[in-house]
Amino acid sequence: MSKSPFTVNKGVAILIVLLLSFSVSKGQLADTLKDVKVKAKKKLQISNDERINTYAPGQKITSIDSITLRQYQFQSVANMLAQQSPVFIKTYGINGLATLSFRGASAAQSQVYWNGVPLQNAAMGISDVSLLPVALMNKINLVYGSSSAMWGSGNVGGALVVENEKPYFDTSNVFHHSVYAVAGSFSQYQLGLRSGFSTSKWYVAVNGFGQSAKNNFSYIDGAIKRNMSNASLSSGVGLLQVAYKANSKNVISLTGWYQQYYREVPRALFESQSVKNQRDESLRLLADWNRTDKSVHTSVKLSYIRDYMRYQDTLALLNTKNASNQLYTEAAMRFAVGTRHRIMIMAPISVQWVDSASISQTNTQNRYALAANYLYSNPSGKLKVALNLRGEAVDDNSYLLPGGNIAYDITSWLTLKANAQKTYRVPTLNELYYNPGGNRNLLPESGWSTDAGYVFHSNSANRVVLNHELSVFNRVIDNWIVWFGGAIWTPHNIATVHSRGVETDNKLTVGFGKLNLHLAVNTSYVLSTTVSSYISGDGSIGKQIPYAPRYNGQINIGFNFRQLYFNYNHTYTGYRFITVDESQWLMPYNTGNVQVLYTLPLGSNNLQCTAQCNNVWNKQYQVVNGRPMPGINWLVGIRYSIN
Amino acid sequence: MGRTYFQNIISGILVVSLLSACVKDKPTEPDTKPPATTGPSGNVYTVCEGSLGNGNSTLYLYNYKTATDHGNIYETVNTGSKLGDVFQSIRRIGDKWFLCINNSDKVLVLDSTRKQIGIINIPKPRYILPVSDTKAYVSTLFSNKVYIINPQSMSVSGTIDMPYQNPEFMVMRNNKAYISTWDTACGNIYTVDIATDKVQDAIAINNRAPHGLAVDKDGNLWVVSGNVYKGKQAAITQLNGKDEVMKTFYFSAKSDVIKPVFNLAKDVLYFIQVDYNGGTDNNGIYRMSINDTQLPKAPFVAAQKFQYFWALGVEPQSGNIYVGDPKGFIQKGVVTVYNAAGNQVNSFAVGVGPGSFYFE
Repeated sequence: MSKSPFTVNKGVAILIVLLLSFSVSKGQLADTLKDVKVKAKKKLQISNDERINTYAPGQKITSIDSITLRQYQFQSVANMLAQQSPVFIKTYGINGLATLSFRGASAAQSQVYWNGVPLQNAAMGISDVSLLPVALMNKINLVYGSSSAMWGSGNVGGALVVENEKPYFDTSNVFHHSVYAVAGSFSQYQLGLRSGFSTSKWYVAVNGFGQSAKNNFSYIDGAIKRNMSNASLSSGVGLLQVAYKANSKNVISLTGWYQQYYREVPRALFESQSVKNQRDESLRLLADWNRTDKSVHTSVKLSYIRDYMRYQDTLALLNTKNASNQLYTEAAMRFAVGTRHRIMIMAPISVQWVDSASISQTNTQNRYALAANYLYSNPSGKLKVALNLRGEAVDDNSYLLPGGNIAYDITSWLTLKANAQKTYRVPTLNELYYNPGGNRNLLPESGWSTDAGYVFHSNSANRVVLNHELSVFNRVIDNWIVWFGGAIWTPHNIATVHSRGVETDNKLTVGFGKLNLHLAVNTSYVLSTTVSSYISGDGSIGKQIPYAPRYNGQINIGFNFRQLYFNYNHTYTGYRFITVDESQWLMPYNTGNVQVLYTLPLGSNNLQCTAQCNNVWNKQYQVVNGRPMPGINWLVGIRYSIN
Repeated sequence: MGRTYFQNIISGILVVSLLSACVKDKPTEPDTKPPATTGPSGNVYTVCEGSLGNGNSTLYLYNYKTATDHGNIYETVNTGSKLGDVFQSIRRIGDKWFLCINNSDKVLVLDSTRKQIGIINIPKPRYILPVSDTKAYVSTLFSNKVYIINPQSMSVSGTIDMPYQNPEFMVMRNNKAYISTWDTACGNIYTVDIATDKVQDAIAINNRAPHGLAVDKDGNLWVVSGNVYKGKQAAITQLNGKDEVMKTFYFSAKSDVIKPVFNLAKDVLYFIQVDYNGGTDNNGIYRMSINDTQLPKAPFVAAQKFQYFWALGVEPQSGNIYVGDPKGFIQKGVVTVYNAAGNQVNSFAVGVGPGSFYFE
C-alpha cells in the first residue's frame, strides 16, 4: 500500500504538538509592531531579519531592489540571480536542478533561508533555486561570505535569504488584489493572483499561480538542429499568510506554502533519448510569534518543511521516491543596552529525517544551537563592531563557532568593512547514510573565512549618483567533501580548498528630470583551488574546483522615464571545469537580456505590463556539460492591481 | 576637489578590477592523430568511461612498442565530436571498431582510422561478442535483451530474450556463447546456440548475479558473480568443459570482485577487488593459480587509501599487467604497468575513468 508523501509519523506528530504546547504555554505572543506610521521607517530595512539589518555591518550584503524583483516577477529566483548577481547558478538545463555557488563554494556550502528558516533539502543539503518563484518573495538578499555563527552549519560561501511580505496592520482596512497573466516562447503560460487585506487586528494574504510550458526550443547538437523534447513543465504554487495582532505587543503569524512541480527532464546532448520525469512537492509551514516590549523583542518560530521528490526513468528502471523532513524551531530575544550596545540571543533546534529506501536506518540528524550576537556602535555611529558566537551540537558532536565583523564610516560616502568567521558544514544525511555509498566516517568541512572591502556611495540627492563596492575574500576549508566513484559514488574528506577573490558592484545613475539613466557593472574573480589532498598523485592540486567560474560579471544599462522602465542586461560567465584537474572544461558564454516594464495608472489601480527577451543574441551555450540552454525567448505579462 | 580625487581613484580601481586577468583561461592542447592500423601493432586502447552524467568519456591509445601515446583519439579524428556518456567497452571485428557507449544508448562504429562510419542504436549496450563475420552479440543493461548485430551492415538483425535482466559479459566456448546475466535473482549463466540465437542451457554457478567470465588454458570457464551492495556476496566459480561446477570460492561479505582476466599462459587468474569507502582491505589487484584451492590473501598490487582500481588487462607480447586507476572518476586516470613479478615497469596518463583495455 503506498504511503502518502505527506504522511507524518507518530513521533513527529507528538513532537509538533509538544512544541506547540510549549510555545503556547509560554504565552510569549510577540509583536513586531506595525502601524502605518511605523511602516515608513521599516521601509529602510532591507530585510525582516535582524541578523542582516543589525548584526552584519561588516559583511557584504546585496539586496535585490524592488524594480529588479518586478522585472523578474514571473520567473524563478535562479533566472534572476543568474542575470543579476555574481553568484554562479549551476543549472542543469531547462527543467533541471539549479543550485547556488557563492565565491567558489559548493552547492551544499551555499545556503537558502526562507523567513529565517533553513530551506535546503534535509537529505541533500542543497536547495533547487529553480523552484523558488520570485512572485512569492517580497525581499531577497544575498549575504556574501561565511557567517556560520549567525546562520549555522553550511553557511560557508554565503546565503540567499528570501522573505515574504511582512504582515502589517492598518486601521484604515487596506485591501489589495492583483491578477496576472503571462505568455511566452515555447508555450509558456502562467496565471496568478495575489490578494490581501489588512485591518488593525488581522493581516491575510494569498498568493498563487499555475504555469505550464512545453519548452520545445531548438538547439544545435553537433551540426544538427534539434527540437527539445520531453521538456514540459507544469506547476501550481500557493502561499497563505495570516497574522493576528493580539495587542500592541503581540503578533502571531502563520504562513503556509505549498507547491508542486512536474518536470520532464529532457535528454542531455550525450543521451539518445530521455523519458525521465520528476515531481517535486513541497509543504512549508511556519508559525511565528513576536512580542515587542519597550526594549526587548522576543520571538518564537516553529516550522515544518517536507520536500517530496519522485523521479522516474523507465529506461534505467528507476522509480525513486524520497521525502525529506525538517522540523525547525527557534527562540530569539534581542535588546539594547543603552544606545551603544545591542544583543541578540537565539536558540535554534532542528530535527531532520528522510523517508527513503536509499537511506539506511540511521536517518535522523538533530541540531541544537545557542547563538549570541552583539553589536557595538560608537557614539558618532560611524563605527560598528559585531561579534558572533555560536555553540552547536549535531547529534553527538559539538562545535564552537566564533565570528566578528566591523564597519567604519571614514566619511559620509566611504565605508570600510571587514569580516572574519569560523565556518563549517556538517555532512548531510545523504552523505552519511545514502545506500549505497554513504560514508558514516565523514568529518565536517571546516575552516576560516575572511573578507574586507569598502563601499563608496555618493549623495543620492545629486543628479549623478555613483555607488561602488569592492570586496576581497579569503577562505580555507579543510576536510572538503568530494564524491568519488564509478559504479558506487562515495563521499570522502579529501582536500583542503583555498578560495579567494575580488568582487565589485558598481552603479551609476544620472537624472535628467523625469528621465533617469543607469549603468551597473558587477564583476567577480574567484580562485578556488585545491591546495592539499589525501590522495597520492592527486591531479587536483593547484587547480580550480569544478563548476566555479573564475570570472563572471554582469552589466545593466537602461533608463526609466515616467512609468516606463527599460533595461539591457549582459552577462559573462567564464570557463567551468568539469574535472578537478582542469582536464575538461566548458567554454565561456555571454548572454544578453532585455527587460521592459510599463505601469499604467488607472485611478487608484494600475496595469503593469512587462516584456522580457532572454538571450537576445540567440547564443548556444551550456551552463552544465551536455545540457543546452534555450536560445532567444520571450516572456510577456500583464498584472492588474486593485488597491 | 577631494571628492573628485577619490572618485577618480575609485574609477581607476574599477577599471583595473574589470580588466585584470590574474589567471589565464585554459588553453587547448591539440592531440595528434594516431596512424591507421590493420593488425597487431603494439597498440593498447584504454576505454575511459568518463563519469556518469557528464558525457566525458574518451578513448586513449598507447603503443607499448614505441612508447608513444595519443589522447582522446575519437574526438581528435572526428573533429570535436564527443563519444558520449559511459564508454563501456570496445571490440574490433574485421577492419571496424565497435564502441559501446552505455548511457548514450549507442554502439559507435569506426573505421581503421578511427573515423566514425556508423551508429547502431541499442539501449544501454555493455559488451560485444563477435560470433562470425556477419554476426555479433551485444549485451545490455536494464533489460533482458541481447541484441544481434550485423557488423557488415552495422545494423540490428535481431534480439535474444534472456531469462534474467542485465546480460553482461559474454565469451565463446565450445562453439557456444556463454552469457552472464547480472541480476541478483539469477543463479545461472546461459548458453546460446549461435546458429539459432536461442538460449540453450542454464548452468548453475552456486551463487547469484554472474557478471564476469574468463576461459583458462584447459578450457575451463571461470565465473565471477555477486553484487555486494545488493546483499549478494562475491564468488568465483570454475566450470569444466561439461559445464559442471569444479569449485566455488566465496569472498568475504564486503569484497567486491570484478573484471577477471587470465595471464598469457592462461594459468593465473587476475581480478580486481574494490573498496569504494577509501579503505585498503580487500582492495587491489589479486591473482590466483588455476590450481589453487583457496583465494589469495595478499594482493598482487595493493590499493592505497582512497584508491581503487577499475581496469585490468594483460599485454599479449610481454604478459605485463595493465592496471587502471580512475582516481575517483573526477579527473584524468592513470594506467600503471607491472611485470609478472609485481614490479612497476611503466605508467601513463589517460582520460577520466579508465575501465578496460583492448590490445591490438
